[in-house]
Amino acid sequence: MLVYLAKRLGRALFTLILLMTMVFFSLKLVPGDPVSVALGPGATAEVAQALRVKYGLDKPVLIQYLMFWKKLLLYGDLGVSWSSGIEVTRNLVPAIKHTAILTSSAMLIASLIGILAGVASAAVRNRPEDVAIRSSALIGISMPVFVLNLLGQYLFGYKLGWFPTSGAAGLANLVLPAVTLGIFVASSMVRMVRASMLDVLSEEYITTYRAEGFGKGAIMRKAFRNALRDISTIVGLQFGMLLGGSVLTETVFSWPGIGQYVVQAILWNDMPSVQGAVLFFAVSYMFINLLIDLSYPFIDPRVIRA
Amino acid sequence: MGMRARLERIRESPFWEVFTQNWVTKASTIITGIMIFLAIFGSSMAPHDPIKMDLGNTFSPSSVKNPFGTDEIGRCLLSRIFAGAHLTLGAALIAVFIGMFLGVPTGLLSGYFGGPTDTVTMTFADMLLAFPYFLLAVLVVAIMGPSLESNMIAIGIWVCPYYVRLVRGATLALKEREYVEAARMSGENSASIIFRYILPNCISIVIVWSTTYYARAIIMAAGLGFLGLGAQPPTPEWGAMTASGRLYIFKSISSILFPAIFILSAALSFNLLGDSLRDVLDPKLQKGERA
Repeated sequence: MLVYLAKRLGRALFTLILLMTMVFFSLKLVPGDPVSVALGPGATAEVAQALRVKYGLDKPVLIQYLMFWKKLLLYGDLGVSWSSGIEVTRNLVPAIKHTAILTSSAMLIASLIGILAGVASAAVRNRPEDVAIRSSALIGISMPVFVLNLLGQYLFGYKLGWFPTSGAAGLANLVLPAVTLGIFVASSMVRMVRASMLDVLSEEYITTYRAEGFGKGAIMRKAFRNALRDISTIVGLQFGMLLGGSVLTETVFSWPGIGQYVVQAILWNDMPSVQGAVLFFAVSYMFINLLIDLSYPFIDPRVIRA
Repeated sequence: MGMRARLERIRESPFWEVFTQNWVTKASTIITGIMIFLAIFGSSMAPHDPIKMDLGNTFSPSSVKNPFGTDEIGRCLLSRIFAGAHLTLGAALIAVFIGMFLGVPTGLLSGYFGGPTDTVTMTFADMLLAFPYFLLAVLVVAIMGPSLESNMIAIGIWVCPYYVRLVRGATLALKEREYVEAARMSGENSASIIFRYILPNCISIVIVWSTTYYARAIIMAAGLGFLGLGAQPPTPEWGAMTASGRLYIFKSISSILFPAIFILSAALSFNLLGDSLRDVLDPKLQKGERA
């Protein structure tokens, strides 16, 4: 168990370091001088040089790279935003909080719909109910999340007036973004959950159960228990979709999360902020998948023996 | 063989049956055809100038002159959608081709030679796949700057590891086949084995998955356009059109609805086609149920 844990953790850390290294150096490839962009055309050479020293941009790239890790690991410092001049972490942390609220509620809704509909669809395979679920799921994965967001906003926010259409003032503001994002993620979950349930249902031991005269409900419960490991992997994989989708959802509903933050940072050419956001996305995605990896032995004891 | 005989053969092959096997697939084949037609001829079919303003005629409802109505500065929505078809659909197509041309050879080499090449390739592929959906594309746009061209490259880089994994898996399986073994025994070199025996057998699975990847690429291109990270206004790219319509959503829904319907139909028809193709051509899924 400990070896398993260490292996997974090691691999996640390795990927993370590699990723951040790649992000760091590729952001260095961005054409144009960030200092002259930030200061505008009227700045004198002295001012520009002072700013360059302040941001550490006067040093060689390799030193900058080492400084990036040193500051990050020792002080949790991600540098100063090029557009606002404020520390990246100061704006990043509240944004992360908002995104965490949005994504976790959307994930809850998505798992609920996705797992229930997926299992149900497998249970009534090829009957009209199954066709209905599958068709809705297919439409769901073909619909860009922002279209779903906008339709929800128009219908329930504007036409019916049930929920506020933008901002993050209270719980009511959360409903539309969380539900629309949740439905988007659920639709791809349904297809995968259905497929993994059908995989299990085609196993021989299920046939044996059938022959022994177990009822449909009992068989579905046993199948679900066996598909649970695959299903938790599916949920973990959808987390990436959720984070990506939240970028668009936050834009539609003016939800002050990290998705909006990163889009603004890109449009302003604000690389330290982009770096901070990418770090957050990568860490949280890996963390969730690590958690799911670590839960395998509990869900399915066969994993340890393998 | 004459043209007619050739067509007969195509019609008789199971590949052609895929497109007509049931009414859903037939419908999606037709919509796919319409989309391809729009992408090629849309610009010349637009009844009005897609970027010409008409401030006396803003937010007009559907009419004979403007079948989809007009947007916030009086531009004909139908004309804009027609003129923008080749942008959204074309960008997604080029993106998938970029991913294919990078990913397929890498997957072939990685699967065929194995060893350290394979380890390095797969580490990189896994790292790219570890990136949350859509955010890799956003990051690439951050590096290259917002434009339609950078979107193509961004989506291409996003789709590339999927091709690597797909083709590598197929190569690993094909490598063990008797005919490959026989070719090796008779002294054919690696390049010839890859090109004559492995690549041709990978093509069907690459086509099948390309259809699905293309649907995702359309959605992604529209998403980048919507965020303002793609084609810049007044370019009638469908995602960018939705973005400008968003600001006036409470005045008129049509400048969101119509581009959205076209994005959805394009993605849906290619997804359906991908599912149907997979049923017929992907032997692994053929006997089981499709997801």
